[in-house]
Amino acid sequence: MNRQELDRKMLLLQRGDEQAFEDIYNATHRGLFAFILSICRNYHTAEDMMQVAYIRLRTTIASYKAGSNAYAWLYTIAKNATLNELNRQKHEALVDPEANAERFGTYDIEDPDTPVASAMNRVLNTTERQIVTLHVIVGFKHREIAELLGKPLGTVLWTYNNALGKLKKELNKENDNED
Amino acid sequence: MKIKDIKDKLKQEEGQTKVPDVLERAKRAPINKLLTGETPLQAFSRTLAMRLLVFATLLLVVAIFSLMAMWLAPTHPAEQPYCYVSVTVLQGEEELHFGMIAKSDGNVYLCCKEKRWSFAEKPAPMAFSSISELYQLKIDDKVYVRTISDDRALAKELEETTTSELRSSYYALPDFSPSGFVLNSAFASSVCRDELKEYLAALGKKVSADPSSQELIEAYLSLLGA
Repeated sequence: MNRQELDRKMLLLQRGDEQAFEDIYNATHRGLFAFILSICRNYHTAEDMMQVAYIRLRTTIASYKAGSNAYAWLYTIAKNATLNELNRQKHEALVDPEANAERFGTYDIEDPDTPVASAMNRVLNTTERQIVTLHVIVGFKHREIAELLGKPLGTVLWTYNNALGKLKKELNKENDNED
Repeated sequence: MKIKDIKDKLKQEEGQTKVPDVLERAKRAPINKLLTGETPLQAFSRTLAMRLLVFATLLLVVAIFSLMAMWLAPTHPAEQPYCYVSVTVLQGEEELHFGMIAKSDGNVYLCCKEKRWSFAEKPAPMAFSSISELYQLKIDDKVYVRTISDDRALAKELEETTTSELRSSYYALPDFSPSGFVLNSAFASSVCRDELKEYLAALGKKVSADPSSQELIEAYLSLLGA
């Protein structure tokens, strides 16, 4: 679904169109989940945050302005919800997050079937993971990513290339070890 | 591994990932209240209009209640008891009459010289605060002080104050004699009441057959235009 189509669906949702919500969900949930996962690295947290993001989409749809970037709007909701949740979890933690990596989502996705995603979780930081996910998986342009993350385009490009370089190095190292 | 391969592999892995379905759960949340499709600005305007309407209604209710309260409230403030002090002075052959009205706090409200009986004349109120400012006591004067009021304590207080003042004035005279001064006083005096009633009648002021002290005093005040 392109931006114009999503914008139109958003306006329909503003009028209470449930079908429009389903269309928006079907068009965005896969990419949104990958994006949330790139931030929190925990499947269950990502699931919860995706739910929160769509609930907030429904409850705050009236503040959506026609013609604005609907993707950016939805992804910003998801990002803020996830970061808030991660902060909340850290504040509530009575234990060392490092010692409870699983609970806080660190390297939760270490699946032999997904070596690239696992390597990404290991070697890339949150911003790098977000940029790579948004560009490679979701299909955002670098300009859109810069707008969404509030970073200069040059920084996004540099971070993206740097992240892919780190990823390549890591995967090549793994391949060398296997050989 | 090339960058392109990494990207393809990442996409492929993502395609294999099972994405949780939260559609039904999310649908339980209400879509924004603005189901009519109005914009936030329109919604704000509507809310503002509603608030203004409520405010205006409240204002109207307050105004109605205020008007009702004003309508129901007594026209005149609660009447406080007054005290009438009659001072009659026999100065040789001459008879002088003074009338004072004191408020419930004991302060003299007005003080005037009355003219009786052969020609009843409306007395002019004077801005004196005590009898001694209105009347200069002489050594052979015989003075009668009488007070009336619905407030008996006030009548007594004014009687005592006035006699005390007159006595002080007398003792201040250079040739005073302790036994030469005649000063009679009474409070809640029926004589005073009857005299005031007669005086008012002589001046054409009608009062009820059995008036209270307050009624007589108010008639007296109205006579003076006070």
